[in-house]
Amino acid sequence: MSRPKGRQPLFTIADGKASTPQRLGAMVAWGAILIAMLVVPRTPARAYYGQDTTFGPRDSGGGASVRVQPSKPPVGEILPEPDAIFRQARDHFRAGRTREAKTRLQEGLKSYPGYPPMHELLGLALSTLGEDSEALQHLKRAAELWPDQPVYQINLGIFYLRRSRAGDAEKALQLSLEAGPSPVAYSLLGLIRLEQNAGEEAVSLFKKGLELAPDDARSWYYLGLVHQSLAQNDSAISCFREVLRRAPRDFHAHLQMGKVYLKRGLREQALKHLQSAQELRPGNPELYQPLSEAYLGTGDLESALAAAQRAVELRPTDRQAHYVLGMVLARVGRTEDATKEFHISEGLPRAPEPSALERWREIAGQTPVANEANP
Amino acid sequence: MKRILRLISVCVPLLALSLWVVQSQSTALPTLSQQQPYFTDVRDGSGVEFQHRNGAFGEKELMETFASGCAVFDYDNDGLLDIYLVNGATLPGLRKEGPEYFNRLYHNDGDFRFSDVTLAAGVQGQGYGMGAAAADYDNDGNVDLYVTNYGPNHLYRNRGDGTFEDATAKAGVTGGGWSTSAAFLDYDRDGDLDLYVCRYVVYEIGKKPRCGDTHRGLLSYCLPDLFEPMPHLLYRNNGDGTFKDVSQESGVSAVKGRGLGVTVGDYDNDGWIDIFVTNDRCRNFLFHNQRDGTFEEVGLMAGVAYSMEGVARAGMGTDFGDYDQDGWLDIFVNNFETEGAALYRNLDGQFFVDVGGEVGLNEPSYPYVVFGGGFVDYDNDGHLDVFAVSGHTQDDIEEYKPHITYAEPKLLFRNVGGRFSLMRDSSEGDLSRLKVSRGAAFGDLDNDGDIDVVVNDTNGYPEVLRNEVGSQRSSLLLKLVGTQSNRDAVGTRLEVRCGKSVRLLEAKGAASYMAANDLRVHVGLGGMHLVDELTLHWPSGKSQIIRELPSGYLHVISEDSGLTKSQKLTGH
Repeated sequence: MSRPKGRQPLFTIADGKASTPQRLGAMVAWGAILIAMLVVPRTPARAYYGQDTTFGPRDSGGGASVRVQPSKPPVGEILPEPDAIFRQARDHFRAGRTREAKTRLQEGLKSYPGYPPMHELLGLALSTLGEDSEALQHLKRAAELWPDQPVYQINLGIFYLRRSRAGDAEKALQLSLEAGPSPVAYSLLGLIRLEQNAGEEAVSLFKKGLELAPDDARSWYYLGLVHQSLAQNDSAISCFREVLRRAPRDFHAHLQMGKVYLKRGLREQALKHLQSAQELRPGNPELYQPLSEAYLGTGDLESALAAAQRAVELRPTDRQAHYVLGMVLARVGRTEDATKEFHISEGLPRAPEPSALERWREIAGQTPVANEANP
Repeated sequence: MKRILRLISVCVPLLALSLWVVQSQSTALPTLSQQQPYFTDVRDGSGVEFQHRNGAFGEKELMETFASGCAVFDYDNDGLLDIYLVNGATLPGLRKEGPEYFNRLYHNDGDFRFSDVTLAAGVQGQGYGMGAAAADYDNDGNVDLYVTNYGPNHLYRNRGDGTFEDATAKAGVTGGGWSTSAAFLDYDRDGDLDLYVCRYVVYEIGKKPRCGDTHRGLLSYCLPDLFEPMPHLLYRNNGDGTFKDVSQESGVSAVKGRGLGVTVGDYDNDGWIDIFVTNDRCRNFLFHNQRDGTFEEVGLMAGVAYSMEGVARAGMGTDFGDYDQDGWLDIFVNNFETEGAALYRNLDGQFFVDVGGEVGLNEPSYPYVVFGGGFVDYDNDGHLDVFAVSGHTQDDIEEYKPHITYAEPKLLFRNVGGRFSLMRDSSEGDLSRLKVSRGAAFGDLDNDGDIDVVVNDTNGYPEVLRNEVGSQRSSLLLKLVGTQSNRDAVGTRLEVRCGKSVRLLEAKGAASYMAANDLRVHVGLGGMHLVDELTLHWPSGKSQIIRELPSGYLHVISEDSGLTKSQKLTGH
């Protein structure tokens, strides 16, 4: 395996034979970065979980954040040539010029095939371009070259998780935790555990993550989903409340809060949150069914009917939407119309509530895998 | 090195901050505990030596995991409830090849001592037993027994001399296919009890697909979705010891469902008894009695067919009861793991809304597969509580879900002002013991004024759960004797007035899962010692008012003569 040319870096990447003091220095440095990420996690959280704008600084009231400067390793010196190539590519990548980033990195790797950040970023770029097979090779290569770099393992885990390879994701995330605690790794493992029907363990993992990064709104959100899926409604409400404290205009949290309040029979509160969600995303197809139920529960049959009709309009093949419309029609005395809706409903397949992991994929899948921790 | 030191100087406070966050976020979960057990299993040494056998032979035939139910009824009219436990059979032969497969009848000798009278009574059963229903179908004053099977069912007519005769053929109630829960009810109000029989799926032993994790070589019980649901049966009592199958003409068989539980009650207060049926992974049925011998299935329109989101659940044990004392019968339903129990609150006799989450029943039951259960005022405070028994359907569930167990605990919920609190037994308590429970029958086995529970556990010993707390409060029992109405007074509505409070109760012919409960009506009175006024609306249409009924008694009330006898309960 060839080594990057030029001056000798602080620690050896290519062959992994760093001296103990070198390794120690690097560990401390990365530890500092990680801790900074954990304590003020907005930037990395957004990066890992996808750029759902409602979690950005604007929605969260512009709270202060310590942004880790990823352009340089905090200690040691990197060869100028690969570093420059990497930075150019990273700028392309961030600006959405993924193909340019890909080309630059492929060129760079011809000269510096053992330079892990380039492999990592190329993996991310290829993943964004949908070239999964090649992307995986590079993500794995980066992790092989720098095995105790937790962020690489996390990105690998995310890659696997998006592609429903939970077993591989779990291994990568476990490796990242061996290198150091990370709220992201805990949260993702929590999602995996939930999928494996180990709900209480999932809760425990999320709590560990939140202990490290208590202001991570997204982790609160997913923990809320975990509680919700375990029918722990009061705990779910607490979590969504934490999200809304940090991101008062978060659509997802308002929606789920509305749903949980409905389960708890607190219809007025449910209605308040669902109306907030409606203001934020009036075209969201998932919103109107619970909104209709909330109106129904509060006795506002007219609004319930309008919401149920909107739900069917937005989701014409949704079994539950037709069912709820049928229920509302029955309540307003339109028995024949209700019967028709029930009939339609019974003829449609059941669409189960998305799991927390599916919701994560839905949000995280919209954006590239993170690269914020790359030097 | 300076750079490293600078970083460390940043790290340390951040670490400290992290640790502070860890500490500040630790919270204590609220726990409920109590000193005295709510129920104690007194089976050991009681004489109830029955052990259930499901006949499993490695092929994972579906009936193995649903069996079996039980009944509490006074077969010899000595005033004490006896116990009947239904058993499986060998598979694939479906025969009770030895006494270990017999169903068992235990005579209540008093003081929680029981004698096995199965053979003398002639009720050891035939075939693969599922459930039991008990009531006096021929109005001769003796409670009869109907046993459902995978295969032909059996009606045992009580001769009144401690023995039963198999009256199935004469009565014409063999059924067939796979029957589960059954209910006696007088749907046409002609003074005799008719019979509703739930049926499950079309199933042939040895012809099911192989289910489970084939990669790991795990053979498991198939999901019910793979099997066609069956139409259910309604038999009209001709009044001469025979029944007529009116499933079709009554409209009951117009819909098919994987029936597991049934309860009967007049949910719309029109004086005619209705039928609610839970189905497994398809919609529940609410058969509204149209007063002309026919039923209309209105479950969808009423809002009890599905969850509030329109999702079919795996309905099992069920019960009617007015938990919120608003004068309308509500419906309790046990469901599968990750579904939670449902409580359909009756809004106005027409529409229901599932308040299981709202009232605190859904979340605690969510991890369990809950079978038998129903409304029981276990603490005699005058409010209907909920008792439920559970146990997973997959005996290898740990292979798929390591955090879930096959055996599961009992669930006891106390109704406090319309909200239910899970009453946690101590970890050594008999409610906490993990069992694979199916049928649960409720009744006052020792006539001390509180409700005890008999539970049949798959491939295990049953549980005879003595109520340890109910008798601390006052209560009374009512034995209703119909004359124009059916002898057991099933369907009689009772308005119990104590001071300013008025409660609605109903004499029920079915509830829970494959089980038959005490036909007597239990009335918890809390701190009151007198029912000021009891109004009875008999199925015949006759109404009756009885005043000043003292607590601590079993009161016998005849439709013709009113209060005929009051017998002191034990311990009062």
